[in-house]
Amino acid sequence: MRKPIAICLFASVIFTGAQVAELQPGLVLTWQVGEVKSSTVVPNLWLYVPAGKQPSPFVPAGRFTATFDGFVNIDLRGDYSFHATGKGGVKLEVNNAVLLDLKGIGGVAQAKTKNVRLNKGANAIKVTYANPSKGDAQLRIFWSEQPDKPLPHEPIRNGQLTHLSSASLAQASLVETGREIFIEHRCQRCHASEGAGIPELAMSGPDFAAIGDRRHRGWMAQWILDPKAQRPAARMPKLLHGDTAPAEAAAMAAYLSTLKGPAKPVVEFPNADFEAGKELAGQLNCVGCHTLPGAAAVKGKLSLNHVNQKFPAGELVDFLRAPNRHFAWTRMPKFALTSKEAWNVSQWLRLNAQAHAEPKRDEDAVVIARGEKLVTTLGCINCHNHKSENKFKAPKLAALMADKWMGGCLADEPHGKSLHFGFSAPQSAALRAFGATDRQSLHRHAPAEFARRQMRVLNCNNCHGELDGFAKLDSIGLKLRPEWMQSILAGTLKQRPRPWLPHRMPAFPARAKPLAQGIAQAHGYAPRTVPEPADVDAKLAEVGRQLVGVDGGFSCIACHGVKNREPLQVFEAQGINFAQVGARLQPEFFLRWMLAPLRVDPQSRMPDYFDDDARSVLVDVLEGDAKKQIEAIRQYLRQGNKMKIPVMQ
Amino acid sequence: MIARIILSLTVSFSAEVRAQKKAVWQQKLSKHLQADFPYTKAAVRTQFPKNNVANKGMAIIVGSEAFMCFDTDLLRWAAGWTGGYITEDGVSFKGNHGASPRIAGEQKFGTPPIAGWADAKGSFADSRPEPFGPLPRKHVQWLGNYVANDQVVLSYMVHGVSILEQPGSIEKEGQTIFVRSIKYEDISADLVALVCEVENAKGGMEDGVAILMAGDQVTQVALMNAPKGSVLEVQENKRVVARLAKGTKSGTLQIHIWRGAKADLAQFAILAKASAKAEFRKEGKNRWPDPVVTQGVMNASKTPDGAYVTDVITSPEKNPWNRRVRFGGLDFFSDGNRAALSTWDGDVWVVTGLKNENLKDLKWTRFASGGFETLGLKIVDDVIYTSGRDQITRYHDLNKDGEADHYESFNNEITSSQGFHEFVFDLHTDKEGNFYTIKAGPVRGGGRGFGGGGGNGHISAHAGSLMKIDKNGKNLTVVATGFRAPNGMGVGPNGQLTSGDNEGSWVPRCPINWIRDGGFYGVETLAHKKPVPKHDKPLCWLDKGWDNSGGGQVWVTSDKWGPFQGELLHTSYGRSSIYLVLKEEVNGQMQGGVVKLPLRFTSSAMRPRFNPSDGHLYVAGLKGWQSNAARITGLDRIRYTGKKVYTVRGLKVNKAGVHLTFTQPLDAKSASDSENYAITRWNYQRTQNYGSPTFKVSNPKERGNEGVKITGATLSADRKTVTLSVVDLQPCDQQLIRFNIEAADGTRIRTEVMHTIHVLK
Repeated sequence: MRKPIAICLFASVIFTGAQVAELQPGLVLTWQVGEVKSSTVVPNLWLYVPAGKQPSPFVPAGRFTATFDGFVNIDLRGDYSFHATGKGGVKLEVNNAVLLDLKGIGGVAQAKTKNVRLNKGANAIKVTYANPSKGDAQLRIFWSEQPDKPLPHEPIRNGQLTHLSSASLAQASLVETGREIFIEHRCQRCHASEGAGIPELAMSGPDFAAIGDRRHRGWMAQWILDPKAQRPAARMPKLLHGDTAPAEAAAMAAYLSTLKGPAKPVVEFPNADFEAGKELAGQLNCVGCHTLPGAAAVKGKLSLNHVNQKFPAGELVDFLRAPNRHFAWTRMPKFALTSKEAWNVSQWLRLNAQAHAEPKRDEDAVVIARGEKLVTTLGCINCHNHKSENKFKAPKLAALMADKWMGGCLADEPHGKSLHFGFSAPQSAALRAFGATDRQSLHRHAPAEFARRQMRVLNCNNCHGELDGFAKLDSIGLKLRPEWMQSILAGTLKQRPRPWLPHRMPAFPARAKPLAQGIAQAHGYAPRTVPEPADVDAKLAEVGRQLVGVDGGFSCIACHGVKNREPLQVFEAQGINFAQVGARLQPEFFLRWMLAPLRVDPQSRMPDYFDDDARSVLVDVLEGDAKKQIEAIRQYLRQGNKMKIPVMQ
Repeated sequence: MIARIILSLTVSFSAEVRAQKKAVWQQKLSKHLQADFPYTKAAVRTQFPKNNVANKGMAIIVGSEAFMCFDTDLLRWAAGWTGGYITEDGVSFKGNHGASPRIAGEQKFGTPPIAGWADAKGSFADSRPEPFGPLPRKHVQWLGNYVANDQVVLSYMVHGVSILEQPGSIEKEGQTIFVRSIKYEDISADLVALVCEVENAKGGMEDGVAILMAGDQVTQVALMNAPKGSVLEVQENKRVVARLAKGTKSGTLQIHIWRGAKADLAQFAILAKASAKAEFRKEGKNRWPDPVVTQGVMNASKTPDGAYVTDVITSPEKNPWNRRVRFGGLDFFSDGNRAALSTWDGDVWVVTGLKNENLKDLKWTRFASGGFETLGLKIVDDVIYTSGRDQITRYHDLNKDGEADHYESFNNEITSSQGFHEFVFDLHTDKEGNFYTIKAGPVRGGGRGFGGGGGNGHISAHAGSLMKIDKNGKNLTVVATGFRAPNGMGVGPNGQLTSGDNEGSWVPRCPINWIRDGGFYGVETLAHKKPVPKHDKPLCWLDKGWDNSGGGQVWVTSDKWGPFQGELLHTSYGRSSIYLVLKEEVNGQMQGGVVKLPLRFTSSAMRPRFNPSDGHLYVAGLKGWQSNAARITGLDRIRYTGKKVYTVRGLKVNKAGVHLTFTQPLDAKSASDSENYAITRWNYQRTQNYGSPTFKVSNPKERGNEGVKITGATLSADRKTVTLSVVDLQPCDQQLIRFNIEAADGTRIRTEVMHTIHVLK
């Protein structure tokens, strides 16, 4: 049937006259509002900005233009066409030829270019977009590699869009990085007075309530003394310096260990199944972010050698089951483990981790009082929730001139009583670059930017694109509806879409909503699905039901379950239960997927039933028109749990 | 239904009476099973004794509500039961992976999986090296069966004595006696037949009747019409056997088997007196005299250059018997006007009218039924042979009425366990007349790994093997091993064997295997050799979009089929496609790739065959598991129209570059511009995982593909061959060549080449 695609990342070198410059992934996107300009790198040609909102943290809200600049790279000379969807004005130039120039499109509009011959290698592409005078800004530019065929345009694949770096872009990137470091290290929690409206301002640290139950005192002392010694990427600063530091850290830990919750019911666990624990740890891909106990250190990964030092008996189980219970913004994912699963994993980790026996310590009221004083005066309470008077004061951000961004908690070496982050030179440079801006970006939440940043912070790509069944996230927002993404990220989905996969998608509840909405917007979709105006077309849905069945259909149900009915003939590649599809997929994606699954996912085992001319192998149904048949199936799937069972054998 | 046994004296059935009233089991019978043919072959599960599965079972209808299952490996009656027939479980019936059919009524008698006739020492012990395949021939030999109307006559040898056996029943007063009517030649050895076993029983002989009591149930066996010296015997308080004395002259006898409540014990004696007489008929009336007539469709699809078109030989999907038609084997009779097709459902159809103008009025007749997933068919001297899970069957229409009467077991040495995935694919002969067929491995439900018992089956001796059977059917030998799901193979004019396979455990992508004697083709658990030998590399791998489930191959033997005479073609079941295979031998290693012939098929493409009479290629296929096939079955004809062909016809790879040879002279400007070509390449990992991700050739650990830099394109003097100069050309599992060029006459050539480089010289 259809030809599969050949994804190809070719030589990333471009010859521009005598110069040779490296092509970088993504396009340069320059936002302009009035005189304010800001550049960043984005992976594609899509955007969505709700009316009245700023398109980026670095420019204010208002009428804006967005200019995408870079190259589209192909490996075979050929004819292509481009397709723009959205609202607003758009001008598309490829190799300096204007292919589209549409000013002020009202409402949702679509426009297709005529065929254009592209050369092998890099072809300059520039898209200038202006938001509409009324309503949300939206743009998606797709292309077709077979423009003479009656097929929908497709997203340009990740890796095919590139740009050349420049000094100004490097400076803009530095500011972005600085802002991220600022936010991730919760600078605003001490240096208040700036920043509002961005979700990360709510980011705190672990709650102190009952912390004495949840962490060993000895480990807390070590952590407080030097967080980065425990975890190189720790967000928490070093609080204590000099000879007194160890005793002070011990005192603070002693105080914190007195913070106890109500007595927990005694839970009896069976003998741990270490093999099951090991297997599950593999399935959960803990090694995506951690090194396992006993394994050699890997830069950027947190070793689990310390779990015995850190967690009192039983606490690791609770942590694994709900890592966000006492720390909403933890980056540790929530896997919805059963208590037995968590027990097996925790015991397997403990078995292999460094052994530890927490020493009994006498309660020393003087030490505890000293610890309490330190906790309330060193700023702990700025990030950690604690019912006590906060006696810590930090200068307001506005008072910190640029030169101050080199001292205090940002100094190269710790001194005096100041907290100390111990940033690397590049991190410090980035922070200073950010500090030198007007820092209005701390007031501006741009969901698409938030989503891209959080997906990096959460290491999404350590699993996606690496594990079987976890596709790359390049275009996830073109595929999944925001509401579905939010349910997955919040962990509220009643049934896993792919319960047969050994790996599981965890939840990140605190981020679920802004992340899902941000992903949608980064892909040029509204943060909320616009309901379809028409009800399900019952007649068409019935045709769809026949098409998915065995009798005269595509036998989709060989691999896809329908409601409570399991598929009969799954070989490796089970499909999503049909009852879930309607709520899950964007209709445009569904059409592209059905027409040519391998063009969407080259590793997919979904068969293709339609050819390049959008003709179906079933020539007798709906004139053999692929798009009509796919729409019939979509109408059937829209019914969700109300769908009737198709013929299954 | 018609009575299986013609009863004399007191018991009589009238066909008219029965015809008026369909038994409940018939009314409820699954549409995937048939009540109007006397048996169904399958791996049949029973209720007792323990582990009693007839791996090569024949579930035979022996009365209005009585059934018996014969095991053609062990020549035993695995079970007799009443009530319902068999369940529709099984991949070829309702489509499920795993469980095969089980008996659907109340079992009355059974035997454990031991020999149905004692060996020379009087032992019933299973003497086979593994509990699969037939017993040794010097012990017993299964010869096949006859079907005469609704009667089935089994034919076999025991210690050299020819036996015909006809199962039947006496059904009266709510009681059923199972009747084994045995016709024997002169008995030249002591023969002992296994009759039944009852677990936890007590009993013995009383007045010549064997009685076994277990709980409130009684099993009684009587020998009727027994010659002198032939007696029943109860062994080990549980087993009833029948002894036939050496020296007995040819004759017949009956074994009556009954089970019922103790209260009905006396019934047996009364009913058993109704002596049942079997006729042992070897021919019957054609039960399917009327053909199904279909109209073919000409020019249903064509290649872009118009050189090849498909014509649809419209299949009898709709037929009066509601039989599912899923073609799994295809061959032609010598008249060239008729072809025979076997189906996965066990039928053989004959189509007449291939010479009809525009394929009008094609006549389809049913020729045979009851086969065990017959997915291969070959015609030799106008006699039909099929390959099935139990045997190679040779069909004889003794009375020339158009329906097979004699289902001869040509060779039944193949092993088969209960596994749902033990398909036996395709059937070919070489020029010496030897037969070849290829068996899948017992893939587990879910697709990964093999065997494990139950419905997943066991790795028996022939699992995942290509087998050769001599032209007389005497000996089966294994040619090559390590196949997973090779739905089709090929035999070249010079005897070269080829096969496809299906991506899965140890098969990273679908290969085209170029098979040597003794070769091992990848699936380590099905190597049948220790240590596991070195993997014989395939001619090429094919990426998912090209083939995700290979069909058979065919060599172009026709001189009426365009420019490809002598070339090899490969079909894809999963992608319903046909490819021209581009091949070369380098340092003794075959390598190459494919180019697609873009045609559309009615169903999948899996059995390509040339009709020697008309020189056209016919392709049969079915849809039974994952495929993008449209219809449940199809038979299409690929006809060469005489127009110019625009495609690639040759591929060579060496250190000088990649050489593509086209069927037409090329436009020098477009063909000599390296920007008009693109090459991408990647590797696979052969592991026990299902298939493989792609890995970079430059970094075997990194997933993905990568482009290859093409520095030049040189056109040969005849303007038909382009040599692409490539930076860092290397052996790789997969390379995709795309181009955007024109022929000298301006015709755009739009195709792609998918190939493998094993050796670079």
